[in-house]
Amino acid sequence: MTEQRERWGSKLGIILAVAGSAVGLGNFLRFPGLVAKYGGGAFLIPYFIAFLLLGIPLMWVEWTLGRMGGELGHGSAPGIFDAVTRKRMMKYLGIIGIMVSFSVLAFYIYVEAWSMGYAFFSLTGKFAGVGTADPAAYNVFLQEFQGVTDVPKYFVGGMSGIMYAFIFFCITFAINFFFIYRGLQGGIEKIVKIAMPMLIGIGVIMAVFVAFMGTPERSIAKAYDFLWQPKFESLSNPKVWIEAAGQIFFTLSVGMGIVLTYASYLKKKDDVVLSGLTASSMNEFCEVVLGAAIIIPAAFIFLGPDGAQATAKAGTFGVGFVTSPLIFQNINPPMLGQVMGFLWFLLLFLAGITSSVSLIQPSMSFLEDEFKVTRKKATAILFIVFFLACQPTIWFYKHGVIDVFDFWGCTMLTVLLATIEVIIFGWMVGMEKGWENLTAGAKIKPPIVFKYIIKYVTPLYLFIITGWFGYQQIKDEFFTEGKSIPSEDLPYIWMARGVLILAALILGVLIHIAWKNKKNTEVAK
Amino acid sequence: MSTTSIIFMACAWTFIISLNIFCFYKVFTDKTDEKAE
Repeated sequence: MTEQRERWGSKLGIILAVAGSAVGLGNFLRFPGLVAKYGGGAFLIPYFIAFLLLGIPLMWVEWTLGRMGGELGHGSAPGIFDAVTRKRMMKYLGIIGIMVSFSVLAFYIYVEAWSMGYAFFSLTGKFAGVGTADPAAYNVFLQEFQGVTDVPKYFVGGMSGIMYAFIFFCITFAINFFFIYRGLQGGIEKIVKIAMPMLIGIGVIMAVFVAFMGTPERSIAKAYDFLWQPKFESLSNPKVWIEAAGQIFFTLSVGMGIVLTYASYLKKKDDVVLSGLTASSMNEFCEVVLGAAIIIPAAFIFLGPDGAQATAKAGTFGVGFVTSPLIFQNINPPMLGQVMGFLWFLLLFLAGITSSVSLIQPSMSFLEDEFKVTRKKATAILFIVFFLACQPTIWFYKHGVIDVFDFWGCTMLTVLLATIEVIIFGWMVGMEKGWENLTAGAKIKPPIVFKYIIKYVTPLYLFIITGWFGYQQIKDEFFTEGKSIPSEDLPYIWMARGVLILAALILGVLIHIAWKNKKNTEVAK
Repeated sequence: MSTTSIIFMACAWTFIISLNIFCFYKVFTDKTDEKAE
């Protein structure tokens, strides 16, 4: 390594940063819905199997590859893949590593801004006018906020809903880049050290609050029973196993290139086994313990079994921005509901911001390491690039633009990147050398069986998931009658796809230029 | 609350909480965590 790169200030700093990146909206909104929908407690069987065979191995692979790349002066997928494999074309496969965070960021900060907006609306009592009974009213409110509907009902006599959304987006975007500009120790480490304890504290307060709000008819015991009652017949459904594996995959933020970048700022003998396991287990605490103890039990207590059932089926955004405000509006006295609603959306915002700052860092690292751009300049470049990249999601939300970024960013490319990483680790670097690197400086020795899991089982698991997701997408897009994309949305869908293709092409050219420059510098020396 | 629900919830929560206690105990008792130079 020739240049001095940034370093983490402490081991706890990187653990909280990786855990913060992993803990996102899905922990609190998606996971409990999956449990209720796919077999209750029985869902935990495929979930924990995937945690052991997919989550933990991938976490260790990313931490190790990241630390190896960092030692060679690279912190993003193109540089790391090139440096650890010494194969010319591998740097181009690293494009996927940056494209994942690019695709996710194109919508994630906007969704994070909704949380901030809803926290504000909760505190100021804006939901009082939406009522306490009808989920459809909250759907209308959300659609107005998103600019899906042009007929104002809740945002009248002032700014339109979408303008509110845009202002909250600008504030959220600026906060993200403020911490990115401050760098690793002064920015990211600082925010996660404040946000993560706060997030867990609020989560515990909310879970305890929900537990004490039950009535004899709708007690917390009945609410937990609704969620956890195992339905073993669900285990014979392959979709349950795929959903469980998918959830583990996305909840740990593996296959996104984030851990690669974060681990690249470690020193050679820094422990990756314990740190990786700690970050993963902290994420699991936020998901299995806190995630399962708040929104579905609250829906059961305040809306009844039917309301809880509807919540489970509502999907991530439905739970977060339609059912959640309705639940808190049903709390008496209303002032208490306002405060608890504010805390809930603050929790979602904190979960979001610790993830979004981590999504910006791979691109920062790419510019800093491969082009030797200063942090100030890299921040300015990415501020403009990502601000522009977020605009299609904000202004063309109703045309399904977000689904394109979500599918490529959160589904297809992540699984693909993880598959590439595990093949690099187990087959190109080689299992012996890879294992040696993984265990270097380790405070706990991982069981030797993981050698075989990483080499054979995890790739196989990933191939099955890639095949399933690919099959689903092709089926949905080309063969499912009535579910295909409406013709008026097609230009927008292709515009979003065009943005992704253009970004990938520009990245390819940038990689070509960066490596050509390096070659010229070496020749000149 | 049925017995099977209790068993599943208790097992899942015990596993996760124990894993967290184990990991954080190891992290906080590790003396090699120095500030970056």
